[in-house]
Amino acid sequence: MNRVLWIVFEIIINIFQGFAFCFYSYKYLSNKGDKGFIKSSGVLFSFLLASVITFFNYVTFFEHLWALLYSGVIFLYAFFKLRGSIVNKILSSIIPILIMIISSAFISNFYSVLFGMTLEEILSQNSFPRFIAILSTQIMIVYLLMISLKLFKKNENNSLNLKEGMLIFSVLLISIIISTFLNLISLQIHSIDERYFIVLSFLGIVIINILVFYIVVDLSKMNTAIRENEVLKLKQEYSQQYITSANSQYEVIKKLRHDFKNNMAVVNELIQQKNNEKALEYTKEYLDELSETEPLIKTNNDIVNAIINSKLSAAKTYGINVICMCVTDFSDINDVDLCSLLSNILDNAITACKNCQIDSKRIFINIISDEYKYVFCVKNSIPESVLQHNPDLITTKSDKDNHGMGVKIIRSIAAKYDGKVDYYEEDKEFCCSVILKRKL
Amino acid sequence: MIKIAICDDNVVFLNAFNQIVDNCMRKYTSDFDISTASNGNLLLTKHKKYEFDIIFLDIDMPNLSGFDVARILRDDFSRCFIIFITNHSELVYESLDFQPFNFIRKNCGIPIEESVDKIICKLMRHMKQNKKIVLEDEISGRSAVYIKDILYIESDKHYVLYHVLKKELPIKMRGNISDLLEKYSTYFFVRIHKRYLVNLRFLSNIDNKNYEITIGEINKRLPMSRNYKHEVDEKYTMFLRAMI
Repeated sequence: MNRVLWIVFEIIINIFQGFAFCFYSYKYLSNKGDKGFIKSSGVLFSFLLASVITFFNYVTFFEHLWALLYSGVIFLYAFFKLRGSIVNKILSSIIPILIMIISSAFISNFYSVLFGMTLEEILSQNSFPRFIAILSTQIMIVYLLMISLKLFKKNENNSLNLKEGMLIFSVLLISIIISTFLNLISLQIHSIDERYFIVLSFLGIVIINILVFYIVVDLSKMNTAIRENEVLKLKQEYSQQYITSANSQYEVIKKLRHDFKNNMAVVNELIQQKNNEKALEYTKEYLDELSETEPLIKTNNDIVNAIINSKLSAAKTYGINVICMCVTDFSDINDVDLCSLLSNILDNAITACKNCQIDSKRIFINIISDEYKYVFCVKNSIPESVLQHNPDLITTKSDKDNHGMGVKIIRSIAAKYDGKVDYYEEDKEFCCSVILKRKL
Repeated sequence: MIKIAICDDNVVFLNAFNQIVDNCMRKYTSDFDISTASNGNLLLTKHKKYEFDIIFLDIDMPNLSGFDVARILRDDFSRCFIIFITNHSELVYESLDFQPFNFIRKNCGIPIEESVDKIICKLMRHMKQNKKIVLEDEISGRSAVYIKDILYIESDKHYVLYHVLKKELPIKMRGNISDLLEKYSTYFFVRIHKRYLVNLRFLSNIDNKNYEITIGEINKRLPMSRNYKHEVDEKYTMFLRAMI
């Protein structure tokens, strides 16, 4: 009778664990609007995991490395039924098992110290301490799973990048290995003092993992905040410039209106005097003056407006003639990337153009898009071939630490959007063309 | 024959510009014809009749602006090249409406001749495909097809299938794709697979992960072999260089 109750109890615990781990993986990876747990075959995989656990509980009385197989089952569930990156899927299948190993080892050691029993006794005898130990292990597992979900739950704003993920992942992996060894050692020792050390070591491993996680998440949050701040600052700076240039435009137009009457009077006078040549000369001068009003582009994207317009005025002060052809919409490209891409391409073009000794300095900006991609093409006039002498486009400035990043940044953004960068020369023009693919 | 149209409401400019374009074109070919129109409606009527290849279009025109004309042209699925003429040094446009080839500035420091020369030099590369070839099979009979309208060529045992724009059925002819490759590689075609030869003009996307390419015009995906991937990349880059 007692034995049957024990078997039922153990099976219930295993089913519980199966559900807890699969549900954890589901929670970890799912986003709003995804399929529910039951619909994504969560129940099926939970029972599968539960039976795997039950089977291995009969084969061996402490799980050790068999736990990797449990991870495998959860990973299968995550891989076939849930969405998310591979790194996250691996993490979501390893974390619960790690938590299980650490908690069961920690609790059983703890109780063996508490009840003055050996580990074997706690783990194999159907006694009250074992019952308590199993129950409290489950409570600890649930508690740790909840904490880790809170910590790890991937959300759009502060998702970790691959490097950060790998950092946490490797600490986790090392922890698994250490805790497995500690388990093996703890099975062979009998003195209570040594057991205390083991319990403390487990506690230490748990704390180290939580701390590492906090540190990485915190740093990553700080980094995003800094990046966002930079963009905001830039946006503000540019909108300030925009206002100033709008004001100066207004002034120019006011002045033109005022001058218009006088100018017409002069032309009228000249024609009446039949002084046609003078009149033509005068109107030509006036036309040139008119066309010199600052160019302003206006797309649907404030960042693009701000950057191109400010670079246009900068180019103008260096006496560079800029022609710009541009689409209005820039959806699918992140503002930060757009900002650094455009400012780097344009800065490179302006720097190359402003110092060269040629009669007409020109920059041609052409941004086109279709359903599949964006092409940013910027051409600037050059006196002689650049690629012939410097094919890798290494900076010519003396301060190499702060310069020469532009080309790298442009390449990395292109790589991010599965695109391409092409530098080439044609007809005394240096061309930089960047393709960014739209998310299909 | 390359059919060119110029549309501007300023008749003095229109004539002067006509002369400039004429001079530039003569450097490349004598097989061309230039029509002029002083307003948008006139241009559209003429376009229906002649189907221009290249249109120089003034933006600031009364009633129907250059943008409006471009939009109407686009709605009719006309694939002519539009070059805007404007007083400004910047041109911002809705890419869904139309895709201008380039634009020319009036009244700026750069002489118009120089801009026109540059643009025509580029256009001539596009015009290379403006050549008719005769295709023939049992279903559609003999038909003259512009190379620029061939989407892709597919090999099928001893036959090749020409998939042509706006034609539901491909034209099936006897032939060998390797022989065709030689002929068409001068016309911006690239081999993506042992069975396919694609017109780079219609190649909208190269999917490096799934080894596929997309022909946007008919929303068709074709497989790309790993062996040809590098060559496709290179040819596509060279094509963009020549065209943008």
